[in-house]
Amino acid sequence: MNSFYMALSIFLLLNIAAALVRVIRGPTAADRLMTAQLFGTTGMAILLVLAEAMDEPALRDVTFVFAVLAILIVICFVRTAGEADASRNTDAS
Amino acid sequence: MSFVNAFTIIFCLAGAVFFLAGTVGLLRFPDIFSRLHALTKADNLGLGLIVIGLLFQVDSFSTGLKMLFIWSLALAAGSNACYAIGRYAFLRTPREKTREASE
Amino acid sequence: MTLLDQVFDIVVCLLLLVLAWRTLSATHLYQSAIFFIAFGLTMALAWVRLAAPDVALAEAAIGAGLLGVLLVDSLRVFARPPETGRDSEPNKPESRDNDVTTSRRRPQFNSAVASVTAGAGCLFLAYVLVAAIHDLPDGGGLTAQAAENLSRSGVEHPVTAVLLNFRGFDTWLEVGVLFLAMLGIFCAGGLVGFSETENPDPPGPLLSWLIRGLAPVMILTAAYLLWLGKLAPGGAFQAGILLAAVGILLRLAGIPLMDRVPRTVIKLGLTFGFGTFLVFGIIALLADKAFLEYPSEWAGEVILLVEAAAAISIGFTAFAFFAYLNSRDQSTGNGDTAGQPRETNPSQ
Repeated sequence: MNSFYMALSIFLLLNIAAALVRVIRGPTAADRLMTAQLFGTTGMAILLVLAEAMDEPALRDVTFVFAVLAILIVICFVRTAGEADASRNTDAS
Repeated sequence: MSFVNAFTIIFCLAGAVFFLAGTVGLLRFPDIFSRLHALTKADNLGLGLIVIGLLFQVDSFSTGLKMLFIWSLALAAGSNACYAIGRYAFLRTPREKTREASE
Repeated sequence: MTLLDQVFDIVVCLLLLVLAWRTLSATHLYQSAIFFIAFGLTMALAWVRLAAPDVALAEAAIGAGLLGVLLVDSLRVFARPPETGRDSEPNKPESRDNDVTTSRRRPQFNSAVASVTAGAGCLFLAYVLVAAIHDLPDGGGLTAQAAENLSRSGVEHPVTAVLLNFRGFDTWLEVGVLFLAMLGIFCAGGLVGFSETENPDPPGPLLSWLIRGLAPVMILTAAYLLWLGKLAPGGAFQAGILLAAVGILLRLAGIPLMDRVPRTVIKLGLTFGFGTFLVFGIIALLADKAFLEYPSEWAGEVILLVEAAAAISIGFTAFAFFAYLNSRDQSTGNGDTAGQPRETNPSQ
């Protein structure tokens, strides 16, 4: 069972590595942010699986903190980067 | 291999498939909205199925509750993030599209 | 340690290297920021694999939560149109396309002296690190002593016992360093005093719902982590960052928490943690004990009290970082400045 968990974790980690291509390609900041969101969720899944594999219940608390704070960066991006971007579009047009 | 472990493996593998689908979609889909669609699959179903799979192994009620709570937090965060990014992209795209069309 | 464990560790190491390299060599600032956030996440996984869930927890709270928000918020300054940007800055980002992403010139190390200096510095650092690993004491150094005295520390989790009791001095000074960092930010750009910034965009229904739902969860999680520090990974820093996250969330929604709270309360909150440590230290001195030595029968309660005070201070400080930088960018970005000191340009 343990090797199944580790294999699953490796698979999820490779998913993160593959998604990095989207960060490089972009093209917009929103695309990159979405990738960060995917990293967060995948990382949470890895942590939950590792909590079972390594028999370390504290990792569920780490996942919990990740889950609580995950939305913050998106809100920050939409509320702040959006403004600057909107002003820039009006300048350009 | 016991009966319970088989359930865990089935659900976790299903979750992994959705994570793979999310990643492939994020890489292959042509525009931001379809990529957003792919992302939410990983957010909601991928994590959810893995949580359900791991629930079979949990020995205490509170641990299971915590994991379900993590999933529900991810659901709330995921749907809100999807809405926020989608709205942000939507408010930007049409203007550029129409400008391109008029030129 | 099975083969799959090793494969996982190797993948984490490779991913860390790639992410570090990509963060430094990225051509877009957003790209760099996202890579850095991913680096933080992978770092948390690495700490997990090193059997240090305490550090992973701190990395999750600070690296993924606070730092990401600070980075994304800072990038707004660079997303401004170039004509209103600061022309005096040497590495001013230039806008190449009509997109949100702002590109910048890749840093070029043309000078041979710079390359040689950087290379020598890296080699020296590598030598110091290898020497440090080589000099690690056998048998874990003070681990045995800490474990022996765990029962007298008032808590059951060894990390908390070391941080708050055996080496309480270090944590006290860490809180002080955080306070100094905030003073440094104030000094660098002039005291803004968190004056009211008009947010033109009211929070939508979904964001309002999210704040109503998430802010209580964050506060509860902070309290949970604080309490958990007694017997498992958790503690003041992580709880403080979660408290700061509540403030950041409210501020992003246009609810200016820092502006409504009286200045005296903010000052008190910022210094509360440092002060509580100091008070208990002086009480210990007056009772003819060592500085920050707690009476063993009350140690658990004292630690919880000190930790709670530290968490409140850390929360205030971390939120002040964000609130200060956020209001500052807004004032320079929109062109309307409320006070004289806010016009000061940090590059001058």
